[in-house]
Amino acid sequence: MKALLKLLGSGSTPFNDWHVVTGARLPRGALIAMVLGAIVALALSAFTVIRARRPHAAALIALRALALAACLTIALQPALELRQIVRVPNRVAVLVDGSRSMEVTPPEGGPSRAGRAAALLTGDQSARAQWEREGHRVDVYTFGEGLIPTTVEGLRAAPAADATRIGEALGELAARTSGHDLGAVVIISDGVDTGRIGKGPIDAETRAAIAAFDAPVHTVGVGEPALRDLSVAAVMADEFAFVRTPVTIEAVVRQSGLPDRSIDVTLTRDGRAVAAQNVVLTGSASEHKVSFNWVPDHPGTYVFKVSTPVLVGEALASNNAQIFTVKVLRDRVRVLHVCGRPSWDERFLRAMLRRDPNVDLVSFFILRTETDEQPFNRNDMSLIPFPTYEIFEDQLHSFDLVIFQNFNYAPYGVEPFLPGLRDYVDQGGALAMIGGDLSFASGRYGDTPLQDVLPVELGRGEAAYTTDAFKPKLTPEGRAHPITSLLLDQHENELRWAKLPPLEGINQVLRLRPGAVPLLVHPTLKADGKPAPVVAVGEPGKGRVLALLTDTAWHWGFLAAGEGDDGRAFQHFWENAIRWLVHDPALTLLRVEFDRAEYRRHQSPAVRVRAMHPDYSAAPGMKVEATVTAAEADAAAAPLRRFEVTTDGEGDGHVDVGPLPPGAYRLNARATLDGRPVSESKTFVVRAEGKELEDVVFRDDVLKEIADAGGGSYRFASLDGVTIRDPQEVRVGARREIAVWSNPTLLLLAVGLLAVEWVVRRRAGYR
Amino acid sequence: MTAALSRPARAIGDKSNLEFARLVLPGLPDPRPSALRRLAWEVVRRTSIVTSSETPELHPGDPALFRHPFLVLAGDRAFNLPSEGDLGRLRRYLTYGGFLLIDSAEGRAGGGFDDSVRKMLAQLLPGELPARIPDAHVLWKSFYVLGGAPGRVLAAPYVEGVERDRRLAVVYSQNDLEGAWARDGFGHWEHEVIPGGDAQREDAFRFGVNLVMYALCLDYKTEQAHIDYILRTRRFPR
Repeated sequence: MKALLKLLGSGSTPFNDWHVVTGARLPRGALIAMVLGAIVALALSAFTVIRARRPHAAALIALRALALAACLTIALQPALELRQIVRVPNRVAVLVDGSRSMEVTPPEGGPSRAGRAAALLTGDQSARAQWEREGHRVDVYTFGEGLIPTTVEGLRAAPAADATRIGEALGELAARTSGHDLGAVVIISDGVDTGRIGKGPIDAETRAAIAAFDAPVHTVGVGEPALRDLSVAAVMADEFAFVRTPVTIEAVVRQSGLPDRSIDVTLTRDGRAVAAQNVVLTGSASEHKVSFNWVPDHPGTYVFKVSTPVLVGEALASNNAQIFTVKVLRDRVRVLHVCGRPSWDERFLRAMLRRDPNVDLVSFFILRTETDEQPFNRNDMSLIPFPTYEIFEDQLHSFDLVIFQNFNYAPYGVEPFLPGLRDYVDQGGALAMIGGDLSFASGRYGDTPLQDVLPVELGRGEAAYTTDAFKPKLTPEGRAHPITSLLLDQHENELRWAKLPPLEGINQVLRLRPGAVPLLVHPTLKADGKPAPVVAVGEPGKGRVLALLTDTAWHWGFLAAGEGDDGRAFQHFWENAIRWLVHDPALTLLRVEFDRAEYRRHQSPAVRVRAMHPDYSAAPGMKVEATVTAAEADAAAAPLRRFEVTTDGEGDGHVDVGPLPPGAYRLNARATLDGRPVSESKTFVVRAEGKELEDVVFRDDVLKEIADAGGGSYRFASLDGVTIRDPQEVRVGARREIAVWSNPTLLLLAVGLLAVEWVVRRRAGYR
Repeated sequence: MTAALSRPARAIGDKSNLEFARLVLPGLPDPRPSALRRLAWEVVRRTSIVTSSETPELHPGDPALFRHPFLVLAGDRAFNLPSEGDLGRLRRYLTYGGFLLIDSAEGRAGGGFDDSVRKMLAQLLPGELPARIPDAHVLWKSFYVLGGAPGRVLAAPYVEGVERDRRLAVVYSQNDLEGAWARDGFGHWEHEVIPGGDAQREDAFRFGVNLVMYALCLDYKTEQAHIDYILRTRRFPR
């Protein structure tokens, strides 16, 4: 045929395609009717000849057939169309798994799955190069959470996707290639799907996408037949919890290919191991669920890590731990009120606390001592022993605030627990000590570990207190401090304090402790040359402590009410004090808010920093320094990122932290607001992966099923024999028609054949 | 709660000590002048509370009224209602946390004093009439576990009270509590207690101690820790 095309070609135009066409301008139906009519006529004629049983029947039929053919040719005007055509290359879509499970390397060493997948497509001898030589256009994509066009060179980048969504990727490809001429779709993956297909069977949506291709879908598996891996496959823990409400943290540990052995699964909170569970691994593959119980005792955001040891020969070490955060909220402030003796100061404080719906109050008052009259029958009284162990050992950390009101520890066996109380404060607890003849130096606290956290130095001498009436004075710090801010306006606040009834008597102290802040002081009495404190606060460690060195603060309420005051100063003072002591976020003048609690690796945490004046109005134009450190790093550690932001007219500043590697981080913000340094810290987590690395064992089931559904084939680590459909799209460069009917020989042939047929028929005896 | 060893019987502010004050109304003499001093003594003897032996007498308009959150009104006859101004001050006193014990020394229920008290309370705390204090109220177990509140007599087998802000602001007894507490300077009880004698007098003191404990500790004894312990160790008689 090529020779014919060459023969028929004229000049320099080489034709590489031909077609027979008709020149008759008749409808298709008429053409078909004409051909059918000729066939029927020939059949009837042949039938008549054969039935007559005359000689030369075969010759007659042949002559008639040839004559009919010649006539049809003349009627249909057939022509030979010669074309010079070019085939448009069709596309071969190659989808390469770019998820993190492709990081896995064989136990015996060698390239990772991703490396092996890339190698299949790299080089002049690769199947890809061959397809391109055959005129196909090869489009390379990587897929994970989505479908991303890439190049063969781009496949050398480390796989970074936190998911493998084969079905979703096929759907996206179907949308992208709609209307295109696809030669084949090739998927190269380890089959560890974390999308809608999972472990199969493939879903209807994916099947529809495969059907839409109109091209074979081939799958290629890359993986290891035998893999050793141990992973923390899943962690089940609520994002939020409430203080003192038990929380269960469950983790699923999955292993494959490891020899039987026992391992410890460890729970770490804020960098400190808090629990461990032993798990015995058995069989070639197994899953184990472990549970940890935790009762949060303090609000805040805690960073947890569930981890297993990394064993020898493991395919992947990065899936042996999972980090997550739990935000603990305070439903109510839990207050322990311990009082050495019922008094009016105690009564009005208790009345205030029990009225406050946000306070969960637990009280222990000393109602009688052993020197009081002993009743004949103790059951006549409703008294209970002082449960020191339960309070100060078992339950201490369940309290947000401990109030020691005119309480002397010595007679009640509390002394052994005072170190624990100091540590409780140091670790973030709150303590308020209220004065009286049993308190502070009179309670001999100067000799105890509590001296380390109290804001006043007591000394080790005899009790010292006064009984004079006096009006305390606000200190410069007290004018703006949230505890002593009875009114927002500083001037009005000072007037308010000045109008309150006098107090009577204070516990005297040697001096303020370093770092302590006096809020109210005695107008005349001195301590170490400075005004004697009446109210002082300190922030030892992570905790907060208030010293109220009088037992007549109730005068600010009931007594003031008798003088025409609204009687709310006592309540406001204590409400402010409790909120400050328990780190109520509402009292923080510098606030840090993240747009989410946890981030993925490629996400950039967006932080809003809000600065406020002491009256909680917006503080615009404030410079805020923000640093990011590892959550477990100590205060002296160099920050990983540093930012400086100036607040806008709303008092807001925005920080874009930028992507960070997986881990737990702390953002520390600092500013100076109205001359006072303020700071705020928030913890956040960048998660390494979702389900991607839970189970990285190679799976070919889904890949085989996809190949079956797509009319393609599955092969392991090879592209050999992948079939590609020919291009369907052509472009015509030149065209020439050779009209067969216009040849005069054909007309003569038809006349000649009819003449011969007439002669033969006459000789055979037909009429 | 009970504990060991002693403590100094002092407070750094005298006003922190419990000091009973007597509410003085015109035409109503104090029928038991020694009673509150004796109760104060008994409170010190039996409990950790520090009391003052002074029992100042205060008119409703007295500037020192709000220095004494525990006020006692006792009488044995009808009396004229205080002025509107005095009633307003007493109302403010009770609203902001003051405690008023009213004790009838008439020796009977429904006498002239009782009639005056009810009229006064109706105006003092409108809409909040005295109601019988239920058996389950914490007042009956604020220190002693009690089954009743007898005084010098048993004129009424109940005690009434008026609540304000989820606490008893007024407690009213018609059993002449002070009659049972009163003791002269020679150590003699001033009045015979009938019909129960010394045991009834002891109950009257115990109720007085419970009143003081309640005034100072409110519903402390209803906290769960106390209930759990007491239920574990004994059965309540009520």
